[in-house]
Amino acid sequence: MTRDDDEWQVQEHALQRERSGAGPAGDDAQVRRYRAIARALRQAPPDLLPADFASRVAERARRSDRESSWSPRLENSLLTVLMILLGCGLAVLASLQGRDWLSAIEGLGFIANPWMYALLACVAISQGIALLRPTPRLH
Amino acid sequence: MTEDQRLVQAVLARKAGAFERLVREYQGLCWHIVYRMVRHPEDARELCQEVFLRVHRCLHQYRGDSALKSWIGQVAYTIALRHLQRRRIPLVEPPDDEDGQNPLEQIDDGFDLEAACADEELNRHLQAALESLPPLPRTVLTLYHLDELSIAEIAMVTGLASGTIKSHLFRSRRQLRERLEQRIGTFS
Repeated sequence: MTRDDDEWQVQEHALQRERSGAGPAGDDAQVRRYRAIARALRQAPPDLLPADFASRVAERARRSDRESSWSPRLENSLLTVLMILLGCGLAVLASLQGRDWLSAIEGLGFIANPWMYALLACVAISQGIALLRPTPRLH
Repeated sequence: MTEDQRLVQAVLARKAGAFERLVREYQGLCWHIVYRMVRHPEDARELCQEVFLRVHRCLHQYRGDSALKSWIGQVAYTIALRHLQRRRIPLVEPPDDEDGQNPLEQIDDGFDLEAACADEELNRHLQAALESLPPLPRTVLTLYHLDELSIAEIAMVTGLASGTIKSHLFRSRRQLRERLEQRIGTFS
């Protein structure tokens, strides 16, 4: 056992003696020194937290809970309202300008072109196959 | 189910008063860690609040593998550590003062040997010596002696190896003894 090991043992012994509240009788000089150190180390630093610290922190946590649960709800409601407004706007616009849009598209020859129907059919078939194909499962 | 787990479940279920009870239970430990690390009372108060708000946000991650005090201590230590790192304050080496002297050398030169025999005087000098230690050994000593955490629990809080904790304890206690002996002679 080295000198350091011996001193570690003395430190620990002094700590145990101090914790148990034993009297100084039988302690040698080094144990007494380490007991004085252990005594000083058991002294708490000045407690500078306010008396209502726990209730204040709990209140802040409650507020942050409320805010975090309120925020997605508000976002969802706003999004729904915006989507409805957008849909209404589009419907009004289509009822007012729909005929002009249709004639403009017809003027481009877009609808009259048979290849356009073939292209739409291809897209529909490939999407249909993709929907019918079973989804691979993760194991 | 342990008392810790019951308290955690009550907090997670948002039962009235549960979180406040948790804060009251562990604010002492949190204060010891944060104050010993940063030493600045204003900063320590802010950081303690941050610790408990973090605990509140992350409590669902607590699995009960360790004592709740170790888990909360770990949060407190991490937050205090980041604060010191942001301010570039060394964790282990004692910060030299402006005149380059080690603060341990500066503990009250006008020491009265007779008065030192009194416990109170001795205690005052030991407190000054403790305050002048670097943040990490200061915190380790407090957790071990004051909060009575075991070496394994301190290792959990700080993320350091048990051997490193023992080494910090041994060296700082010896340092305290030597410094006091230099100043006041042996007070046996």
